[in-house]
Amino acid sequence: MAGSSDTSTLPTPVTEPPPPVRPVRTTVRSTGVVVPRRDTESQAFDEHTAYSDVLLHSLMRAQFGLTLGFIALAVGVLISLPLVVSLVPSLNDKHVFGLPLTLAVLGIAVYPVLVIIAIAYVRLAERTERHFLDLVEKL
Amino acid sequence: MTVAPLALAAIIVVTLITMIVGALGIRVARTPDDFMVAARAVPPFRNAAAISGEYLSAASFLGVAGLILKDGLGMLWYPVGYAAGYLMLLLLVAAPLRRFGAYTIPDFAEGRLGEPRLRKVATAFVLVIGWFYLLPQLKGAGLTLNVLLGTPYWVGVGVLAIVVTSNIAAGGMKGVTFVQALQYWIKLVAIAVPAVVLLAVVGGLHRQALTRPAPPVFATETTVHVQTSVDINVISPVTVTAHGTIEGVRVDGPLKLNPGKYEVKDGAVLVFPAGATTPHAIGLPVLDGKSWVSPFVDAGHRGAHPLAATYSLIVATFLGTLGLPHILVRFYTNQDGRAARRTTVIVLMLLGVFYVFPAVFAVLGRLRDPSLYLTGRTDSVVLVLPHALIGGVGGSVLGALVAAGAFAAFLSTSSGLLVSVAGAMAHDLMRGGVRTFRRCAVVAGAVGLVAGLQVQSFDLNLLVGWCFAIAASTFCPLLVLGIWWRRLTWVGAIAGLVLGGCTSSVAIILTMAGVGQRGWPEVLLGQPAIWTVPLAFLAMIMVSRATPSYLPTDLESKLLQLHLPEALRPRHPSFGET
Repeated sequence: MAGSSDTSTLPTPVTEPPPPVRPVRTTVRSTGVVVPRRDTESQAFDEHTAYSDVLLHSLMRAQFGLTLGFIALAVGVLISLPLVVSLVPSLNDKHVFGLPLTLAVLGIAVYPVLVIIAIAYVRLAERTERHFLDLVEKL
Repeated sequence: MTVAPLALAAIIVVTLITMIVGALGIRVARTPDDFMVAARAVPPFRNAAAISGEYLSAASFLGVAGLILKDGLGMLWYPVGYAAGYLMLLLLVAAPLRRFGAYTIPDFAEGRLGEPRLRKVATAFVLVIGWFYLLPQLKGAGLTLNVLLGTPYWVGVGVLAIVVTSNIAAGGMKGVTFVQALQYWIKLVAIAVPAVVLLAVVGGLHRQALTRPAPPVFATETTVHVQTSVDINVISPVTVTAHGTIEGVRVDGPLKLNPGKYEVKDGAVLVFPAGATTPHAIGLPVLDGKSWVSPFVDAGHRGAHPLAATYSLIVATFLGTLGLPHILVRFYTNQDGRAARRTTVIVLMLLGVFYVFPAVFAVLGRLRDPSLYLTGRTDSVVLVLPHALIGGVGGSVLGALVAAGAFAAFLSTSSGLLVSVAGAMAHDLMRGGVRTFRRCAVVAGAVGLVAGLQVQSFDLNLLVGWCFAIAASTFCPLLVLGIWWRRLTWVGAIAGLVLGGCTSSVAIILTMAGVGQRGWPEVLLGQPAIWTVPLAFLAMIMVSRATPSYLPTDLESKLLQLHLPEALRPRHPSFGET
């Protein structure tokens, strides 16, 4: 059925089964803000300190570096075709598996490539977050 | 056309499904939250199907195939860009935006930068983009009913506007989440099955057929029914059998057409011999095979700058998706940041599967039934091809299937758009509850209806491409800089929104009015993203640097909220006040 149609209309908390180690979270409907219900393992982010700032900045830098790298990869792969064909016009007549080059590349091949790039990014981004969690929880 | 009864039945079934499931939502939708974001926590796969269902609009279902048929394979950049936009969304905004916990873009803008006036400006652009995006959906509905049933253009526009508006006003998004997930699958089946069947029936195509260095020809003896009067450009001499009024003269029998322009009145029937070069409607580019298969947007016509036009379209579509208000609101329904990422990857898969098929219709249309070049109605290729190539009961069934898919496309996208437009009016401008939302939905639908009646002559994808250009020039820089750049101020954000939004809108309005028909003005006004997006980024950065005293006071906690994985959510006081 639709979305979370099983949830009642009362503003009861939407809880999820607790994954190992992770805290149980409570969704406050009226504000849409997720707040923790029990204490996290680490106190590092419980109050605003210069130290938590440093940690946060390192996470942001790592994630943004990852994002930039993948943008460069995706853009490099995707936008090279018009450039290459405008430099080497004879490629335009080439066929791949019986299909004109443009159709084979832009009509079919590009989509699995996009998905592979996306999956690789998600794995690396989640790994970055896991490393960060490990780091913080050791503190 | 004789597909009417089955197609009409299919359209009615799809519409009824939408209304019934929407109505089921009424019973559970009681709070404003329920109406606007489906009460959250939709599992990734269903959410991804709903996002794809909402995203695949008239432009994707009908427009892409028509545009490729008309302007060549370079137009594949539209679907590629529509899909790649989700990669950019994944890389730049998906997880942080979900973690921030904002409903809408105006919510994000005010929450992140702490300025109510910024919310108002952002809301204004939500309305501009939402309404603009509604136009091609309404146009698609008008076109579809006209092609299939012969009704006047305004009938389709009116039917769609009324169905969607009443559905939203009654049930809100609670009802449409499930409908939209379902509608993705309807659309996929409705385009994939006819495409595969047509390929199987038509059989092997000659290897070099598409790259032949000549304009398209009629493969077999072809009868063309001209339903709307059209001026045609005859390319090489041909003798046809004609019944009707041509160049103001009544003809009944053989007629020799020499290269040049002919005026064909509606109701005329022309029979072309096999192998005849297809005359083109005036205004359509006459492309030989080599130009048609080139990977450039606007290849080979109007002497434009194909590489610049191509890259400008890429900028607009890659970056425009992450600024589409009706799509971003769906990310709020993910459980957490990780689920938002997973959802986005699944969306990419679902879109990739879908977008393989429109090109099939374009290729088969060019090789097997090029009569749409003559009538100029390339946007309807998906609708008419099954019947034209197969005929009989099989053709009618497939024709009904694509009609159902097309209507699913209009219904789902315009529902999502109306929710975001009405939501922005009710939630961001008026701060109202459910009743305000209902009233705003009716007003928004009425405005869309009136505007939709005016755009009959524009290409579906041109209209959609312009929405992407405006979104890429406004919300893309706001979100990207808001998430990743700590020095953004609300003054800078407003400057960038206004500059990017106004320059891109003005360029598009000038193009619609017919300014700049060739050369650089044509590229830079018709595909403005290549300069308006950098301009908006630049304005946000420069003005923010000049106004450091307007930085939000609780900047660090905002950044924590954006980037900290849920497992580490702190008990920080500022987390309670978005």
